[in-house]
Amino acid sequence: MSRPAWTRDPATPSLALFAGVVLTGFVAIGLGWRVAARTLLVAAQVPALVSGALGGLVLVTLGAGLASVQSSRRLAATERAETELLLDEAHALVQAFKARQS
Amino acid sequence: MTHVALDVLQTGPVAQEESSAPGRLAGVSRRAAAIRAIPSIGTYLGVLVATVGLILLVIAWGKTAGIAGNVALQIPYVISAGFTGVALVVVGLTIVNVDAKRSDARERTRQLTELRGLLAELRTTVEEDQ
Repeated sequence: MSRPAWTRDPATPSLALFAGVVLTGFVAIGLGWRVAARTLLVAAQVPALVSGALGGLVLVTLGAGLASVQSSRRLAATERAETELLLDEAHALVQAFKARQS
Repeated sequence: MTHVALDVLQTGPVAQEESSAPGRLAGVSRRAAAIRAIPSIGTYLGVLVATVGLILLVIAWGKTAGIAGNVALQIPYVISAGFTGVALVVVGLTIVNVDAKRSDARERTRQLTELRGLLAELRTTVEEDQ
């Protein structure tokens, strides 16, 4: 009973968290719109604009940016692992050459 | 009798649910893998999301321009369509960015794997010559 590969990926929890931050940002924009649409008083709408809409936009940008960084780190880790294997193979080849010469 | 009924309740549907859960996960995983296998699907998805955002921005502009005399009526459109549009553009660009990086990384990893295979082949040849 093995779990699917994507659930075993160590980056999955953080990526899910960042996706949650992005979703929270959209929800905040929705709440800001709801509060602002309820009144025709600009003085009451501006706080909703700032806290809901701007705050939501910041959350979306933050979540997307962090997800991008985390995704880059995951890809870099995969490449590092592959480079490490390549170096091991090159080392083994050098040893084989040395053994042949001696 | 009660115990038997409870046993049935505990072992029947729950056991079925537990046994089908990994299958369902595997199915979702298979479907996700099939979608990911489509070339540049992330780029297309990101462009689509960013386009929806741009359309929302145009809608926000149209609605606010239509009611130029009343700021209180404009603000809800600025929030709902304007800010959501900008947020969707940000998300779309992020999806495109991540997909491009992933595609590049996949290609580099493939090259490294190929190089490693060649080195392994060379080592085997050297070891056989000894």
